[in-house]
Amino acid sequence: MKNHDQPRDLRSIDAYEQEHGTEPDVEEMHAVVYREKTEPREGSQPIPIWLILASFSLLMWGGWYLGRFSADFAVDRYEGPNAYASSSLLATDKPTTKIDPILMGKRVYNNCAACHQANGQGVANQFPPLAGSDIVNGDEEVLAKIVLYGLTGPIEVSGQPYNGTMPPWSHLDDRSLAAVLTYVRSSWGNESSSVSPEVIKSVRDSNSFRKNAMTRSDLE
Amino acid sequence: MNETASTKTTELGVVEPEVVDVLPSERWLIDQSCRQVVLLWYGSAVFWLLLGSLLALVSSIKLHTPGFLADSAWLTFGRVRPAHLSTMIYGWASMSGIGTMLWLFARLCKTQLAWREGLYLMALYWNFLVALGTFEILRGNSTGVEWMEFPAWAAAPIAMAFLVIFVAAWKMLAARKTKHLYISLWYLFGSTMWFPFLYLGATILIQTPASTGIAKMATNWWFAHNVLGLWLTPIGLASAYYFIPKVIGRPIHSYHFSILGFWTLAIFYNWAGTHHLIGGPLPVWVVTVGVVGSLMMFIPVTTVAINHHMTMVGNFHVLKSSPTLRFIVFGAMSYTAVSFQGSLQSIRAINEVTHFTHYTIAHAHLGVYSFFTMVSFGSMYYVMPRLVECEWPSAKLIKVHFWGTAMGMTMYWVGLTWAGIEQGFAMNNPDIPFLEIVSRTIPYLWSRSVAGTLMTVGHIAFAISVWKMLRHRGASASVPTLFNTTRFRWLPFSRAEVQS
Repeated sequence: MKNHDQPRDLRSIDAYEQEHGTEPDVEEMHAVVYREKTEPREGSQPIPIWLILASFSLLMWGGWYLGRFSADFAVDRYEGPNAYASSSLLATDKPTTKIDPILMGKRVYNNCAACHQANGQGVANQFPPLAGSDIVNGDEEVLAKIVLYGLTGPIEVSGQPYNGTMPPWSHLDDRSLAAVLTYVRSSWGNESSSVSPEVIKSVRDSNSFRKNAMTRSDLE
Repeated sequence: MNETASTKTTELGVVEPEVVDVLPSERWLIDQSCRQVVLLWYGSAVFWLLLGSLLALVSSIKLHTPGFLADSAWLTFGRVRPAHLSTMIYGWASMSGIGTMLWLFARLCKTQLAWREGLYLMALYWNFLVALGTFEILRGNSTGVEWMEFPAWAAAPIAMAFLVIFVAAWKMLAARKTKHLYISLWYLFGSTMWFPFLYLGATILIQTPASTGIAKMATNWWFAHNVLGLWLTPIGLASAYYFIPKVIGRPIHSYHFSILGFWTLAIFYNWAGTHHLIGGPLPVWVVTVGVVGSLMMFIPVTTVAINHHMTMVGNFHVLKSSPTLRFIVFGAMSYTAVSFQGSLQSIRAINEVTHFTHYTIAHAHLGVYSFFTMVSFGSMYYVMPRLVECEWPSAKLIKVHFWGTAMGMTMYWVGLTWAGIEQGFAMNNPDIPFLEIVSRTIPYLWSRSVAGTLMTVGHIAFAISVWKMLRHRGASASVPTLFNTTRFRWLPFSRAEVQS
């Protein structure tokens, strides 16, 4: 607005405008050129500290996210439901893994192998064999009780007498105990049915008062 | 840094450019140097806007009334929709953007438009390419690569046109009369550099055997997202940065905000594209990088929003009268909205719902239409009277234009966003049959067609105004055509107070 209404301040005219020299008659030009306000320029307000802090927080978060969901920058880890399941607010059912009870039982059997041996033959006069044993191939509930509460006192397995003590294994969960019983019942020539975790659970629940180990009288 | 004659140091120790305004006579010469070139780019843009609107309406109607124009292979949805996208992006948005860009370059460098013959020929050549490309798409020769549907042979000629614009921009920068580069120039020059690079890079990776399969797909979305991010957005922001302070006549809030906003945009936007492929067969980290890039966009967007808002504070009443400001502020606010929305949408948990739904369509239109197109309209309302030397013919037409487009766009966004959220939740539920989900969206698709019609009405009003201006049949008053012109007939405002 000041361009033609007021005398111009000569200090505000740069060399390029002065060298232009003559100015066309102002009235010849259209008003549209005159009513314009000054060309835009920039103020120098500083950037507030909160904006800087917020930007840095966002950058920190970006670094964390990149690390958390980069899958180690591997070329063969693909984008998909499992790649970021934990980041998803909507993922309801996690993928369930199917477990082979024989394989799992074989692993749990490591607890038993010290006495009954890896081949299930036991040690003569000290630890009874599991291979071909009537008890192992017998009632599931009795077996469940033995692994849950232990066994003590004189017993007879495959015609041989034993008098020792087997500790209880009740600290293992139902699935592990069911798996190990399934394993021993289907190995070394044994061909008995598998044991389900439900059987262990029902024995554990119905005998929850029991503290003592099993004895021969309990087996009969 | 050397302190030159055109800068002074404030008490805060900040180097601040001294305001050196050009003489009106000089400004008139600069504007006249742009006249033919910019009007050609603008006029062609409006032609493509009308054609693009028509194609948009046809594809929108087809979604709820599938039998509409279904007898001709040329007018099937699979051809009309990419034709709509290409005419709008390469015809309307790019051409109007280049028009404004050239004018801003001349104005801000305070030099006459460079290489006018080249730019004029380039406009003709560009129109020819867009026409041929659209024809090929309708004929069934689309590449099927989204945002690059023009046949592969069109790539080299289009890239050449961009290089001409780059050279012209470079020439004006080299010949500029002020040392200081106003923030708009940063964005504009950025876009002239980035886009040819993007276009050539994407063409080589997608249209040649240079890459295969998954890499082509990743390149596709890197490119498509950056057409908006590094081509249209910088032009839109440059226009907003120029016209907001220009119309209200006060400096932009802060130079430091401008620079922070520019560099963070330049650094982060480029990474964001792969968020389109969440859940796709890509290595996890490629998508994760895209998500991080998208969320980092909060920094430039917040910065620009504050900068624009603080400039506007105390001047919102100008929105009542000035068409330029009203369109541009609408666009600038939409930029903030669309960017925040985009960042949130890239979060995987949200994307699981919104991906492959109408929500994405609403988001894309909020960006290209509500932000870029509205800013482009506002810029044209400012620039054209200066080129043709007469005023816009009718305030009524501008009103129809503004309310048609603003209401149409709002209706479009609300309807499709809601439809998309519903659709997304329904699609994530395997118990709901797909066809039922499709039929549930039909009412929203109708609302989209109605909204599209409103926008088209606005475009027709605009096209009539532009046509009259090009024929030099505008108003010859000495005051600009404003929304409420009657008020100014009796108010004792001086000419200088009234801004268009």
